[in-house]
Amino acid sequence: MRLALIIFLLPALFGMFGSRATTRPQVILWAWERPEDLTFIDPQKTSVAFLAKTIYLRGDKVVVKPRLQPLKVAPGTKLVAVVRIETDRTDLPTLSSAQAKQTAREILNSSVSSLVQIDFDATVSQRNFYRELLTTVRRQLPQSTSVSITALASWCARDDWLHDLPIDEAVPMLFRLGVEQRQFQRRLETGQRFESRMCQNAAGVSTDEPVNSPAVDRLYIFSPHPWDKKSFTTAMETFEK
Amino acid sequence: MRRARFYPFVAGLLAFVLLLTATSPALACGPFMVEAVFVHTVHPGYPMDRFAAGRIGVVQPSYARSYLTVAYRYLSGSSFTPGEQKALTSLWKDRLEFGWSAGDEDWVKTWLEARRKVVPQDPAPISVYRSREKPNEYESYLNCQKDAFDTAIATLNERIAKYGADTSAVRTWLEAQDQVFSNCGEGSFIPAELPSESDALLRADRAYQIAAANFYSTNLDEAKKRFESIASDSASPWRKNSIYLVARTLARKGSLGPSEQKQESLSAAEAQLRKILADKNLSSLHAASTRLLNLVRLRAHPAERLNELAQTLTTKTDNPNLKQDLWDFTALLDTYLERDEEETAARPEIPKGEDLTDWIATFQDSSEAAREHSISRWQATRSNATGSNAARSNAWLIASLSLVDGQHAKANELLADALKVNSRFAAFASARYHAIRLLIETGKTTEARTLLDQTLKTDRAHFDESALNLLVSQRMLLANSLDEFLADAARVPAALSWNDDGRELPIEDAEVSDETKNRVGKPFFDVDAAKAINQQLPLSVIKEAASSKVLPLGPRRDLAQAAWLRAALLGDTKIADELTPVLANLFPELSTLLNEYSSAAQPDEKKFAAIYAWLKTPGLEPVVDAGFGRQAPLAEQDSYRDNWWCTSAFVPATAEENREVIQFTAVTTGKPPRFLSPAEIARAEKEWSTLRSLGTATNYIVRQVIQWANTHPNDPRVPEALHIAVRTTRYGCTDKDSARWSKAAFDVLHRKYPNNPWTKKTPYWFKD
Repeated sequence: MRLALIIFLLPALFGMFGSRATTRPQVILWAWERPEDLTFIDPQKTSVAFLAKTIYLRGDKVVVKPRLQPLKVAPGTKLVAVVRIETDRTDLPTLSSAQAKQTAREILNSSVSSLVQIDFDATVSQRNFYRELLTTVRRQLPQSTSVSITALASWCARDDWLHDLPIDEAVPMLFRLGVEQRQFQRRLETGQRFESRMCQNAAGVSTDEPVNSPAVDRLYIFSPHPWDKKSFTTAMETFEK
Repeated sequence: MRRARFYPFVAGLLAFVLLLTATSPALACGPFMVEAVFVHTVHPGYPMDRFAAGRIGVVQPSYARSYLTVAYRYLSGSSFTPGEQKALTSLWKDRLEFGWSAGDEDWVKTWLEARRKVVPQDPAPISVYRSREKPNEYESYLNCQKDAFDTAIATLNERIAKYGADTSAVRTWLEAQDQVFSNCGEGSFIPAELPSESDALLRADRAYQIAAANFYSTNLDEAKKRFESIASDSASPWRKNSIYLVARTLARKGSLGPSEQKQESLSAAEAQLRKILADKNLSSLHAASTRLLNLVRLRAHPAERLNELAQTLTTKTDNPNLKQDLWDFTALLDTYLERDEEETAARPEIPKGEDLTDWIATFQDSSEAAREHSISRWQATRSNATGSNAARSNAWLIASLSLVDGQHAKANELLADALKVNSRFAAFASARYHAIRLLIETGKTTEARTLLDQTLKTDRAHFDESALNLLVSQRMLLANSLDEFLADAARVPAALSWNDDGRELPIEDAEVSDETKNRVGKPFFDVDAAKAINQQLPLSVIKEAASSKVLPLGPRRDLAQAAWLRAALLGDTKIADELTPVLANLFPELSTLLNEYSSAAQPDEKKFAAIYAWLKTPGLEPVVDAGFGRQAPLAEQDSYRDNWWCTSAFVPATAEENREVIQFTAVTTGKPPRFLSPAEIARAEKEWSTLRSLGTATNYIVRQVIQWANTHPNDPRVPEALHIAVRTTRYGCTDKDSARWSKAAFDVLHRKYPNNPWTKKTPYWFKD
């Protein structure tokens, strides 16, 4: 019920959330862990989702590394804090409730606006942990703050374990898809929407893998190089087609 | 497949924040499937100690620059000591496995343990990272470093020894120290001065704590003033430390302070550090001062420092700082090379005064200018390559070989030099690989084959798994017969990797299923072989291949199923019939379905028998897989929707084919295998075109089933076939028309067979 309410209210919660796009989606640039000077963007038209911190889950520990690289934005730019979660491959995380709670605390104190985004490529065995984490985050965040997660395209196309997650949007990552690229490219070309309703309003693309821009409200754009005017303009031209 | 979303930064990200701390490249992934890595492209194969010891294989321009630095040194005839090799593998482990985190949680933990000797309760949590002030508030830096906690622990222990743990002197000291560390994360908490009648040592401690608190709370001018004051107090036990901390405060101001003052602060820090290093009485500060000076110079004079580091890395032997030097060098180099065109135009040109820097920049640049520059460097160094310096020119020889193709005017000269590289040189594997490549590209296939066979026979030990796969790929290209082709088509991957982030890290045993573990060491088709089989071999040849015992069992099974289904789809019942026993032998579980196929008399009956078998065997596809491929058993539905000919149905321009940086992987020239006749080539083209024209497999299947249902409504297989046909539009590859076909099959099933059990099992059709 609450989730339904949030989804219903979502457009009003954050300035960037508009009505379902039939024309141009709201553009949000991902600013990853590298020096980024985005003062050239028009804050009225473009927002910035910046990697605020990376959380490493190691054994029973939650190791936090905040953003260490400069981020410059124009005054008035709408910002989304992105929290990336990594799991250690050698010191496997315990994925305990305590670890979920501590991780949630770190996410909660990263929020800088009415939207926070979590980037965690959870394996099947990590999904319960992720669900618990998201539930804790959702419970403790103000109702006016929305939760976005990045999602593997496969989560959105099949294997839909997202449908009952306490989130407001899942952003299918439509790049670095490997052998599945062909299938998803075809899907985009034919205008097919993702099966998971969580994935239908936003999409993530990369400047070095031009794809047909899906019909979404919010388009997150990644650049493999630091953003500049030229790459921004090219990206806008590419994805506005 | 899991792929790096952010991999390009692993090499290029470690930039100028070095004055504060290292940075944290972040990675991300796609679905979770193990990939077969036949040829490593971003780093050499594991174990890395082979590469560190000089077995550098075929050096890829796409390797991260730390590997290229090491390769350059070996290609130039130099080497690394065992101690240095350990430092190299440690650096690579840190970078690839993110083992280079600050370890800050342990610093704080150790401090808290020491502190409990005096007070059992812990203070508020200490965060060693602090956010910068506006307008840089979204950036943090490592504020309190390990040495701060080490010094505090040592001092606490000394004061406990002198005054006792349960004394006001120690408690007061600790309270002030808590204030100092509370500045690490945020705020400004400055301990008060002690009264003048207090113990002199405690007053000296307090003065130092006040200076430190100012330092951590970013009151850097005040901190500097106070450290200078302590430095001039010969009675203070903190005098020496403070001399160093004046420099450190200046350095920090050079990083965090106003941009117009940065250079001035860095210059002042540099001057102070040089003063310390020139003073023998301050020798206890020399190690730390040298490290800080290196960092300051990295920031203040990047080009100069880059050259210094290049020189050190090229010439210094038994370098105890090799790991840090290589780290700094590549981080600096990345800041020059990891920029787009616009930024490059605005930045100073990369200093190429040092040969190492020049070599890496050129080796990784596929432009014509880089190619010609490389050749001129090869020619210049080549003339010096005499006597004991015979290996000197190999770095530029390898770069030039990598950058030219067989049509280049210097190809023959380069080839001649490549053939002269003796197997005792580190350049041998690269030189030999490119020599064979150039021979192939210049049409000297017989010479290429001879050299290749000789290399595989007598020099195999010089090639690691990746490099061997490159040679085998070349050999497949030169096959004179189908058997020769098949012998080299299936290869054992150099590694199995999740490769979720482009790091090509080998899988850990604990991470994978037994089924995956069983595939370790087994051969699979690489992309070149799969492409040739799928697109360039005619059905008649594929049939022969499926019956050949040259292929190992796994690839042979894949090829046999592809051949049978392809024959059925192309309507070549003769070949399909001939392949049926082959397939039944390899997949006994399909015997019943295959018997039905064999029993069918008419072509249309055979076709439906094949479609029915296909419906019930979602893993069948008319193509072979490259790499690991579909992992579910043939007759089981794949949970990743790789069913009924899915992901291999299209021929896209893959990202791999559009890479900016050159890399050497399986050789795909686009030309069909040499042993095929023109007629066979033409037939293969036509067959592939026909297969592609069938369109999306699920739509095709549904269409065939509906047609059969319309003409043979009493066939008892029809209701089940319609049921599965509807399911294919949910669990197979679909497109914009699939929903229409899904509904059509659903309607036929429900209209014509309303009471059939299969109809009851089909309550839905699938929209998308």
